[in-house]
Amino acid sequence: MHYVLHYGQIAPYLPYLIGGMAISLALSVLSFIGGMVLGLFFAVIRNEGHPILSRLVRIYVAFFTNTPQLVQIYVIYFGLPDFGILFSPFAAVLIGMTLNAAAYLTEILRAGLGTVHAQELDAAETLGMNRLQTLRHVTLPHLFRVAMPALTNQYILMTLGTSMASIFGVEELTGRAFNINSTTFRSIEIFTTVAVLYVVVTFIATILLALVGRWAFRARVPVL
Amino acid sequence: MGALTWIGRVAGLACLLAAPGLAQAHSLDEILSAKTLVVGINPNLPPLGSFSDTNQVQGFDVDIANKLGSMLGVKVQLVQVNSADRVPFLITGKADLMMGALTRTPARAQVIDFSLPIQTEAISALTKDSAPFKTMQDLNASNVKLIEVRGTTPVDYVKQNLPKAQVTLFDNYPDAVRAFEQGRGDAIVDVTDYLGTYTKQYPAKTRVIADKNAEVDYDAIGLAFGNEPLKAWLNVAIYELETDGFLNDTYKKWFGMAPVYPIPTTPYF
Repeated sequence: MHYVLHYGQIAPYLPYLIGGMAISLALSVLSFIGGMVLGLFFAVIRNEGHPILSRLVRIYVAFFTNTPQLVQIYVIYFGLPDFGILFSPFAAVLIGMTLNAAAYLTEILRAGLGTVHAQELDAAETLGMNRLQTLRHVTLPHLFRVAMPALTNQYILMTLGTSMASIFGVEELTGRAFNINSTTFRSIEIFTTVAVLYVVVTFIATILLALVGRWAFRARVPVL
Repeated sequence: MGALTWIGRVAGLACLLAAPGLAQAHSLDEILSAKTLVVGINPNLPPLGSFSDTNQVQGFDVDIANKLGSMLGVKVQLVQVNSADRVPFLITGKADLMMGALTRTPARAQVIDFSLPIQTEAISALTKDSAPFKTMQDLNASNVKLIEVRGTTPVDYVKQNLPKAQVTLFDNYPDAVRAFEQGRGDAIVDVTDYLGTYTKQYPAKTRVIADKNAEVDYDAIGLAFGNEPLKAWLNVAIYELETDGFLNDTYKKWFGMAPVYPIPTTPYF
Protein backbone atom coordinates (compact mmCIF):
# COMPACT_ATOMS: atom_id res chain seq x y z
CA MET A 1 0.00 0.00 0.00
CA HIS A 2 1.38 3.39 -0.85
CA TYR A 3 0.06 6.83 -0.13
CA VAL A 4 -0.10 9.48 -2.83
CA LEU A 5 0.44 13.02 -1.63
CA HIS A 6 -2.14 15.53 -2.83
CA TYR A 7 -1.08 18.97 -1.71
CA GLY A 8 -3.52 20.43 -4.23
CA GLN A 9 -6.41 19.35 -2.02
CA ILE A 10 -5.32 21.59 0.82
CA ALA A 11 -4.22 24.55 -1.31
CA PRO A 12 -7.68 26.20 -1.01
CA TYR A 13 -7.23 26.18 2.77
CA LEU A 14 -3.94 28.08 2.69
CA PRO A 15 -5.51 31.52 3.42
CA TYR A 16 -7.42 29.91 6.30
CA LEU A 17 -4.15 28.47 7.67
CA ILE A 18 -2.35 31.80 7.27
CA GLY A 19 -5.21 33.45 9.20
CA GLY A 20 -4.54 30.92 11.95
CA MET A 21 -0.86 31.79 11.77
CA ALA A 22 -1.77 35.43 12.44
CA ILE A 23 -3.66 34.38 15.58
CA SER A 24 -0.70 32.26 16.74
CA LEU A 25 1.59 35.19 16.13
CA ALA A 26 -0.70 37.60 18.00
CA LEU A 27 -0.80 35.22 20.96
CA SER A 28 2.96 34.76 21.11
CA VAL A 29 3.85 38.44 20.58
CA LEU A 30 1.33 39.76 23.11
CA SER A 31 2.20 37.21 25.75
CA PHE A 32 5.93 37.76 25.16
CA ILE A 33 5.57 41.52 25.61
CA GLY A 34 3.40 41.04 28.70
CA GLY A 35 5.81 38.43 30.03
CA MET A 36 8.81 40.72 29.42
CA VAL A 37 7.22 43.63 31.31
CA LEU A 38 6.21 41.43 34.22
CA GLY A 39 9.46 39.46 34.07
CA LEU A 40 11.67 42.56 34.15
CA PHE A 41 9.67 43.89 37.08
CA PHE A 42 9.94 40.58 38.94
CA ALA A 43 13.64 40.21 38.10
CA VAL A 44 14.41 43.60 39.65
CA ILE A 45 12.37 42.66 42.73
CA ARG A 46 14.22 39.35 42.96
CA ASN A 47 17.59 41.09 42.78
CA GLU A 48 17.11 44.17 44.88
CA GLY A 49 13.54 44.19 46.23
CA HIS A 50 12.22 43.74 49.72
CA PRO A 51 12.99 40.21 51.03
CA ILE A 52 9.30 39.35 51.41
CA LEU A 53 8.49 40.50 47.85
CA SER A 54 11.55 38.66 46.61
CA ARG A 55 10.32 35.50 48.34
CA LEU A 56 6.86 35.93 46.77
CA VAL A 57 8.40 36.21 43.31
CA ARG A 58 10.42 33.06 43.98
CA ILE A 59 7.26 31.18 44.90
CA TYR A 60 5.54 32.51 41.77
CA VAL A 61 8.43 31.44 39.55
CA ALA A 62 8.67 28.04 41.22
CA PHE A 63 4.95 27.45 40.77
CA PHE A 64 4.74 28.50 37.12
CA THR A 65 7.94 26.81 35.98
CA ASN A 66 7.13 23.53 37.70
CA THR A 67 3.60 22.99 36.40
CA PRO A 68 2.68 22.34 32.77
CA GLN A 69 1.43 25.38 30.86
CA LEU A 70 -1.51 23.34 29.62
CA VAL A 71 -2.63 22.72 33.19
CA GLN A 72 -2.25 26.41 34.05
CA ILE A 73 -4.43 27.49 31.12
CA TYR A 74 -6.88 24.72 31.93
CA VAL A 75 -7.31 26.13 35.43
CA ILE A 76 -7.80 29.65 34.09
CA TYR A 77 -10.19 28.51 31.39
CA PHE A 78 -12.26 25.84 33.11
CA GLY A 79 -11.51 26.43 36.80
CA LEU A 80 -12.10 30.16 37.25
CA PRO A 81 -15.64 30.14 35.75
CA ASP A 82 -16.71 28.16 38.82
CA PHE A 83 -15.77 31.28 40.79
CA GLY A 84 -17.64 33.55 38.41
CA ILE A 85 -14.63 34.65 36.32
CA LEU A 86 -15.25 33.86 32.67
CA PHE A 87 -12.53 34.80 30.20
CA SER A 88 -12.97 34.43 26.45
CA PRO A 89 -10.91 31.59 24.96
CA PHE A 90 -8.33 34.01 23.52
CA ALA A 91 -8.06 36.02 26.75
CA ALA A 92 -7.73 32.89 28.90
CA VAL A 93 -4.92 31.50 26.74
CA LEU A 94 -3.22 34.89 26.58
CA ILE A 95 -3.33 35.33 30.36
CA GLY A 96 -2.09 31.79 30.93
CA MET A 97 0.77 32.17 28.46
CA THR A 98 1.73 35.59 29.83
CA LEU A 99 1.87 34.36 33.43
CA ASN A 100 3.87 31.33 32.35
CA ALA A 101 6.24 33.40 30.21
CA ALA A 102 6.71 35.92 33.02
CA ALA A 103 8.03 33.17 35.28
CA TYR A 104 10.61 31.92 32.76
CA LEU A 105 11.56 35.43 31.66
CA THR A 106 12.06 36.48 35.28
CA GLU A 107 14.75 33.84 35.59
CA ILE A 108 16.38 34.68 32.25
CA LEU A 109 16.41 38.42 32.97
CA ARG A 110 17.56 37.93 36.55
CA ALA A 111 20.52 35.91 35.33
CA GLY A 112 21.21 38.67 32.77
CA LEU A 113 21.02 41.39 35.38
CA GLY A 114 23.51 39.46 37.48
CA THR A 115 26.13 39.86 34.77
CA VAL A 116 26.06 43.67 34.86
CA HIS A 117 29.32 44.57 36.60
CA ALA A 118 29.29 46.88 39.59
CA GLN A 119 32.10 48.86 37.87
CA GLU A 120 29.81 49.60 34.90
CA LEU A 121 27.21 51.06 37.23
CA ASP A 122 29.86 53.01 39.10
CA ALA A 123 31.15 54.40 35.82
CA ALA A 124 27.64 55.46 34.82
CA GLU A 125 27.22 57.22 38.15
CA THR A 126 30.57 58.92 37.71
CA LEU A 127 29.45 60.15 34.30
CA GLY A 128 26.45 61.76 35.99
CA MET A 129 23.74 59.47 34.61
CA ASN A 130 20.52 59.25 36.56
CA ARG A 131 18.86 55.88 37.24
CA LEU A 132 16.77 55.93 34.07
CA GLN A 133 19.74 56.85 31.90
CA THR A 134 21.79 54.13 33.55
CA LEU A 135 19.04 51.63 32.82
CA ARG A 136 18.67 52.75 29.21
CA HIS A 137 22.34 53.11 28.32
CA VAL A 138 24.15 50.67 30.58
CA THR A 139 22.01 47.99 32.21
CA LEU A 140 19.59 47.10 29.40
CA PRO A 141 22.21 46.94 26.60
CA HIS A 142 24.35 44.72 28.76
CA LEU A 143 21.38 42.63 29.86
CA PHE A 144 20.05 42.06 26.36
CA ARG A 145 23.46 41.39 24.88
CA VAL A 146 23.87 38.57 27.36
CA ALA A 147 20.27 37.37 27.46
CA MET A 148 19.27 37.76 23.79
CA PRO A 149 19.85 34.11 22.75
CA ALA A 150 17.90 32.85 25.76
CA LEU A 151 15.10 35.36 25.12
CA THR A 152 14.87 34.38 21.46
CA ASN A 153 14.77 30.76 22.49
CA GLN A 154 11.99 31.44 24.96
CA TYR A 155 10.01 33.36 22.35
CA ILE A 156 10.27 30.49 19.89
CA LEU A 157 9.16 28.02 22.53
CA MET A 158 6.19 30.27 23.24
CA THR A 159 5.28 30.54 19.56
CA LEU A 160 5.27 26.76 19.30
CA GLY A 161 3.39 26.57 22.60
CA THR A 162 0.49 28.55 21.12
CA SER A 163 -0.54 25.29 19.46
CA MET A 164 -2.21 24.26 22.71
CA ALA A 165 -4.70 27.13 22.34
CA SER A 166 -6.68 24.91 19.99
CA ILE A 167 -7.73 22.82 23.00
CA PHE A 168 -9.54 25.86 24.36
CA GLY A 169 -11.45 26.75 21.21
CA VAL A 170 -8.98 29.30 19.84
CA GLU A 171 -8.73 28.65 16.12
CA GLU A 172 -5.01 29.25 15.69
CA LEU A 173 -2.71 27.47 13.26
CA THR A 174 -2.81 24.01 14.84
CA GLY A 175 -6.53 24.24 15.62
CA ARG A 176 -7.27 25.12 12.01
CA ALA A 177 -5.04 22.28 10.86
CA PHE A 178 -7.10 19.87 12.99
CA ASN A 179 -10.29 21.34 11.54
CA ILE A 180 -9.12 20.82 7.97
CA ASN A 181 -7.85 17.38 8.84
CA SER A 182 -11.27 16.38 10.13
CA THR A 183 -12.86 17.17 6.78
CA THR A 184 -10.16 16.27 4.25
CA PHE A 185 -8.23 13.54 6.14
CA ARG A 186 -5.10 14.72 4.31
CA SER A 187 -3.09 14.59 7.54
CA ILE A 188 0.39 14.32 6.06
CA GLU A 189 -0.12 17.18 3.62
CA ILE A 190 -1.76 19.40 6.24
CA PHE A 191 0.69 18.89 9.04
CA THR A 192 3.79 19.17 6.87
CA THR A 193 2.39 22.46 5.54
CA VAL A 194 1.69 23.62 9.07
CA ALA A 195 5.20 22.66 10.14
CA VAL A 196 6.61 24.80 7.34
CA LEU A 197 4.38 27.71 8.40
CA TYR A 198 5.66 27.40 11.97
CA VAL A 199 9.24 27.41 10.73
CA VAL A 200 8.47 30.55 8.72
CA VAL A 201 6.96 32.26 11.77
CA THR A 202 9.80 31.39 14.13
CA PHE A 203 12.44 32.20 11.48
CA ILE A 204 11.02 35.67 10.90
CA ALA A 205 10.67 36.18 14.64
CA THR A 206 14.30 35.21 15.24
CA ILE A 207 15.51 37.74 12.69
CA LEU A 208 13.22 40.48 14.00
CA LEU A 209 14.28 39.89 17.59
CA ALA A 210 17.94 39.99 16.61
CA LEU A 211 17.37 43.28 14.75
CA VAL A 212 15.52 44.72 17.73
CA GLY A 213 18.40 43.68 19.97
CA ARG A 214 20.92 45.31 17.62
CA TRP A 215 19.00 48.49 17.03
CA ALA A 216 17.50 49.20 20.44
CA PHE A 217 20.17 47.87 22.75
CA ARG A 218 23.22 47.80 20.52
CA ALA A 219 23.55 44.17 21.46
CA ARG A 220 26.02 42.38 19.19
CA VAL A 221 23.79 39.45 18.32
CA PRO A 222 24.16 37.61 15.03
CA VAL A 223 21.10 38.09 12.82
CA LEU A 224 21.44 34.62 11.39
CA MET B 1 -9.94 7.15 13.23
CA GLY B 2 -9.63 6.78 9.48
CA ALA B 3 -6.50 4.71 9.78
CA LEU B 4 -8.06 2.50 12.44
CA THR B 5 -11.09 1.87 10.29
CA TRP B 6 -8.84 0.80 7.46
CA ILE B 7 -6.79 -1.45 9.67
CA GLY B 8 -10.06 -2.96 10.84
CA ARG B 9 -11.26 -3.50 7.29
CA VAL B 10 -8.01 -5.04 6.19
CA ALA B 11 -7.96 -7.25 9.27
CA GLY B 12 -11.55 -8.23 8.62
CA LEU B 13 -10.76 -9.11 5.04
CA ALA B 14 -7.69 -11.06 6.14
CA CYS B 15 -9.85 -13.03 8.58
CA LEU B 16 -12.29 -13.82 5.81
CA LEU B 17 -9.58 -14.97 3.43
CA ALA B 18 -7.57 -16.89 5.99
CA ALA B 19 -10.45 -18.92 7.40
CA PRO B 20 -10.42 -22.15 5.38
CA GLY B 21 -13.94 -23.26 6.25
CA LEU B 22 -15.86 -20.30 7.62
CA ALA B 23 -16.94 -20.74 11.22
CA GLN B 24 -20.70 -20.93 11.22
CA ALA B 25 -22.80 -18.64 13.38
CA HIS B 26 -24.70 -20.57 15.99
CA SER B 27 -28.35 -21.27 15.36
CA LEU B 28 -30.94 -20.79 18.08
CA ASP B 29 -30.92 -24.56 18.77
CA GLU B 30 -27.13 -24.64 19.07
CA ILE B 31 -27.20 -21.67 21.45
CA LEU B 32 -29.81 -23.40 23.59
CA SER B 33 -27.94 -26.68 23.73
CA ALA B 34 -24.53 -25.03 24.32
CA LYS B 35 -26.19 -22.77 26.90
CA THR B 36 -24.00 -19.89 25.72
CA LEU B 37 -24.90 -16.75 23.80
CA VAL B 38 -21.89 -14.89 22.40
CA VAL B 39 -22.52 -11.14 22.19
CA GLY B 40 -20.18 -8.55 20.69
CA ILE B 41 -19.80 -5.39 22.79
CA ASN B 42 -17.71 -2.30 22.15
CA PRO B 43 -16.08 -1.53 25.52
CA ASN B 44 -14.95 1.91 24.38
CA LEU B 45 -18.34 3.39 23.63
CA PRO B 46 -19.88 4.71 26.84
CA PRO B 47 -22.62 4.54 27.90
CA LEU B 48 -23.22 1.49 25.67
CA GLY B 49 -20.08 -0.23 26.88
CA SER B 50 -17.19 0.83 29.06
CA PHE B 51 -14.88 -0.63 31.67
CA SER B 52 -16.02 -0.37 35.27
CA ASP B 53 -13.80 0.32 38.30
CA THR B 54 -13.23 -3.43 38.57
CA ASN B 55 -12.32 -3.67 34.87
CA GLN B 56 -15.58 -5.39 33.95
CA VAL B 57 -17.39 -4.32 30.79
CA GLN B 58 -20.61 -2.56 31.72
CA GLY B 59 -23.23 -0.42 30.03
CA PHE B 60 -26.53 -0.32 28.19
CA ASP B 61 -25.48 -3.01 25.72
CA VAL B 62 -24.24 -5.28 28.51
CA ASP B 63 -27.54 -4.99 30.38
CA ILE B 64 -29.54 -5.76 27.23
CA ALA B 65 -27.27 -8.72 26.39
CA ASN B 66 -27.61 -10.16 29.89
CA LYS B 67 -31.38 -9.69 29.82
CA LEU B 68 -31.59 -11.54 26.49
CA GLY B 69 -29.41 -14.30 27.92
CA SER B 70 -31.62 -14.70 30.96
CA MET B 71 -34.74 -14.77 28.74
CA LEU B 72 -33.17 -17.61 26.77
CA GLY B 73 -31.91 -19.28 29.92
CA VAL B 74 -28.31 -19.32 28.71
CA LYS B 75 -25.03 -17.83 29.84
CA VAL B 76 -23.88 -14.67 28.06
CA GLN B 77 -20.32 -14.53 26.85
CA LEU B 78 -19.17 -11.04 25.89
CA VAL B 79 -16.59 -10.52 23.16
CA GLN B 80 -14.99 -7.12 22.86
CA VAL B 81 -15.11 -5.51 19.44
CA ASN B 82 -14.31 -2.15 17.93
CA SER B 83 -16.63 -0.51 15.44
CA ALA B 84 -14.92 -1.91 12.37
CA ASP B 85 -14.98 -5.46 13.80
CA ARG B 86 -18.72 -5.66 14.15
CA VAL B 87 -19.75 -6.98 10.74
CA PRO B 88 -16.70 -9.27 10.21
CA PHE B 89 -17.28 -10.85 13.64
CA LEU B 90 -20.83 -11.81 12.65
CA ILE B 91 -19.78 -13.10 9.24
CA THR B 92 -17.03 -15.27 10.71
CA GLY B 93 -19.23 -16.56 13.53
CA LYS B 94 -17.13 -15.03 16.29
CA ALA B 95 -20.30 -13.55 17.77
CA ASP B 96 -23.95 -14.62 17.66
CA LEU B 97 -25.30 -11.16 18.33
CA MET B 98 -23.61 -7.82 17.72
CA MET B 99 -24.24 -4.62 19.60
CA GLY B 100 -22.26 -1.36 19.81
CA ALA B 101 -24.69 1.10 18.16
CA LEU B 102 -24.90 -0.98 14.98
CA THR B 103 -26.85 1.20 12.57
CA ARG B 104 -29.18 -0.49 10.08
CA THR B 105 -27.95 0.30 6.59
CA PRO B 106 -28.80 -1.23 3.21
CA ALA B 107 -25.13 -1.99 2.61
CA ARG B 108 -24.81 -3.95 5.84
CA ALA B 109 -28.17 -5.64 5.29
CA GLN B 110 -26.66 -7.38 2.24
CA VAL B 111 -24.25 -9.31 4.45
CA ILE B 112 -25.85 -9.51 7.91
CA ASP B 113 -29.34 -9.51 9.40
CA PHE B 114 -30.77 -6.96 11.78
CA SER B 115 -33.21 -7.28 14.65
CA LEU B 116 -35.85 -4.66 15.44
CA PRO B 117 -34.23 -1.39 16.41
CA ILE B 118 -33.31 -0.94 20.05
CA GLN B 119 -31.95 2.59 19.90
CA THR B 120 -32.05 5.68 17.68
CA GLU B 121 -29.32 8.11 16.78
CA ALA B 122 -30.08 11.53 15.33
CA ILE B 123 -28.87 15.05 15.74
CA SER B 124 -30.61 17.24 18.30
CA ALA B 125 -29.65 20.27 20.35
CA LEU B 126 -28.88 20.33 24.04
CA THR B 127 -29.56 23.67 25.66
CA LYS B 128 -30.18 25.10 29.12
CA ASP B 129 -33.76 24.86 30.35
CA SER B 130 -33.81 28.64 30.72
CA ALA B 131 -32.72 29.30 27.11
CA PRO B 132 -35.34 30.85 24.80
CA PHE B 133 -34.90 28.41 21.89
CA LYS B 134 -37.93 26.38 20.81
CA THR B 135 -36.97 24.81 17.50
CA MET B 136 -33.73 23.85 15.83
CA GLN B 137 -34.01 26.82 13.44
CA ASP B 138 -34.04 29.22 16.43
CA LEU B 139 -30.36 28.34 16.76
CA ASN B 140 -29.62 29.65 13.28
CA ALA B 141 -28.86 33.22 14.36
CA SER B 142 -25.64 35.20 14.51
CA ASN B 143 -25.89 35.78 18.27
CA VAL B 144 -26.13 32.06 19.03
CA LYS B 145 -22.94 30.39 20.21
CA LEU B 146 -22.72 26.67 19.56
CA ILE B 147 -20.20 24.30 21.09
CA GLU B 148 -19.10 21.36 18.99
CA VAL B 149 -16.49 18.62 19.05
CA ARG B 150 -13.88 18.86 16.32
CA GLY B 151 -14.05 16.21 13.63
CA THR B 152 -17.58 14.94 14.36
CA THR B 153 -20.41 14.81 11.81
CA PRO B 154 -22.56 17.35 13.72
CA VAL B 155 -19.98 19.98 12.71
CA ASP B 156 -21.01 19.42 9.09
CA TYR B 157 -24.68 19.44 10.08
CA VAL B 158 -24.18 22.86 11.71
CA LYS B 159 -22.39 24.19 8.64
CA GLN B 160 -25.30 23.18 6.44
CA ASN B 161 -28.30 23.80 8.64
CA LEU B 162 -27.24 26.48 11.13
CA PRO B 163 -24.73 28.51 9.10
CA LYS B 164 -25.38 31.79 10.95
CA ALA B 165 -24.45 30.49 14.40
CA GLN B 166 -20.98 31.03 15.88
CA VAL B 167 -19.16 27.77 16.57
CA THR B 168 -16.46 27.03 19.15
CA LEU B 169 -14.71 23.70 18.69
CA PHE B 170 -13.28 21.49 21.42
CA ASP B 171 -11.30 18.28 21.19
CA ASN B 172 -13.43 16.07 23.39
CA TYR B 173 -16.90 15.75 24.88
CA PRO B 174 -16.03 16.37 28.56
CA ASP B 175 -14.43 19.73 27.66
CA ALA B 176 -17.26 20.67 25.29
CA VAL B 177 -19.93 19.90 27.88
CA ARG B 178 -18.01 21.73 30.61
CA ALA B 179 -17.69 24.81 28.38
CA PHE B 180 -21.43 24.62 27.64
CA GLU B 181 -22.30 24.26 31.33
CA GLN B 182 -20.05 27.20 32.23
CA GLY B 183 -21.97 29.42 29.82
CA ARG B 184 -19.45 29.57 26.98
CA GLY B 185 -22.14 28.58 24.52
CA ASP B 186 -25.91 28.41 24.17
CA ALA B 187 -26.23 24.88 22.88
CA ILE B 188 -24.45 21.74 21.75
CA VAL B 189 -25.72 20.22 18.53
CA ASP B 190 -24.90 16.54 18.51
CA VAL B 191 -26.43 13.12 19.15
CA THR B 192 -27.23 14.58 22.54
CA ASP B 193 -28.36 11.27 24.05
CA TYR B 194 -24.67 10.52 24.55
CA LEU B 195 -24.12 13.75 26.49
CA GLY B 196 -26.36 12.72 29.41
CA THR B 197 -23.42 10.97 31.12
CA TYR B 198 -21.56 14.30 31.23
CA THR B 199 -24.41 16.75 31.91
CA LYS B 200 -25.57 14.85 34.97
CA GLN B 201 -22.38 16.01 36.75
CA TYR B 202 -23.64 19.62 36.58
CA PRO B 203 -26.51 21.27 38.44
CA ALA B 204 -28.05 23.29 35.60
CA LYS B 205 -31.30 21.92 34.16
CA THR B 206 -30.96 21.11 30.49
CA ARG B 207 -33.47 20.58 27.72
CA VAL B 208 -33.22 18.83 24.37
CA ILE B 209 -34.58 20.29 21.14
CA ALA B 210 -35.35 17.66 18.53
CA ASP B 211 -35.17 18.43 14.83
CA LYS B 212 -38.47 17.71 13.02
CA ASN B 213 -36.57 16.88 9.85
CA ALA B 214 -33.84 14.86 11.48
CA GLU B 215 -32.48 11.84 9.66
CA VAL B 216 -32.96 9.21 12.31
CA ASP B 217 -30.58 6.25 12.31
CA TYR B 218 -31.95 3.06 13.80
CA ASP B 219 -29.47 0.95 15.70
CA ALA B 220 -30.32 -2.71 15.94
CA ILE B 221 -28.78 -5.94 17.12
CA GLY B 222 -26.89 -7.59 14.29
CA LEU B 223 -26.78 -11.31 13.61
CA ALA B 224 -25.49 -13.62 10.91
CA PHE B 225 -27.24 -13.49 7.54
CA GLY B 226 -30.06 -15.98 7.34
CA ASN B 227 -30.06 -16.98 11.01
CA GLU B 228 -33.86 -16.85 10.87
CA PRO B 229 -35.06 -18.65 14.05
CA LEU B 230 -32.67 -16.62 16.21
CA LYS B 231 -33.84 -13.41 14.52
CA ALA B 232 -37.50 -14.30 14.99
CA TRP B 233 -36.93 -15.01 18.68
CA LEU B 234 -34.87 -11.84 19.08
CA ASN B 235 -37.61 -9.65 17.58
CA VAL B 236 -40.27 -11.08 19.88
CA ALA B 237 -37.93 -10.58 22.83
CA ILE B 238 -37.16 -6.99 21.84
CA TYR B 239 -40.85 -6.23 21.43
CA GLU B 240 -41.39 -7.57 24.93
CA LEU B 241 -38.55 -5.46 26.34
CA GLU B 242 -39.92 -2.38 24.55
CA THR B 243 -43.46 -2.82 25.85
CA ASP B 244 -42.63 -3.79 29.42
CA GLY B 245 -40.41 -0.71 29.74
CA PHE B 246 -37.11 -2.56 30.24
CA LEU B 247 -35.44 -0.97 27.22
CA ASN B 248 -36.56 2.51 28.21
CA ASP B 249 -35.56 2.09 31.87
CA THR B 250 -32.17 0.70 30.94
CA TYR B 251 -31.74 3.58 28.51
CA LYS B 252 -32.51 6.12 31.24
CA LYS B 253 -30.19 4.30 33.65
CA TRP B 254 -27.18 4.53 31.33
CA PHE B 255 -27.85 7.61 29.20
CA GLY B 256 -29.24 9.71 32.04
CA MET B 257 -32.17 10.72 29.82
CA ALA B 258 -35.06 9.29 27.82
CA PRO B 259 -34.37 8.71 24.10
CA VAL B 260 -34.59 12.00 22.16
CA TYR B 261 -36.14 10.19 19.20
CA PRO B 262 -38.13 7.29 20.71
CA ILE B 263 -38.91 4.23 18.59
CA PRO B 264 -42.65 3.81 17.93
CA THR B 265 -43.56 0.32 19.12
CA THR B 266 -45.76 -1.87 16.97
CA PRO B 267 -46.72 -5.52 17.45
CA TYR B 268 -46.45 -6.08 13.67
CA PHE B 269 -42.97 -6.83 12.46
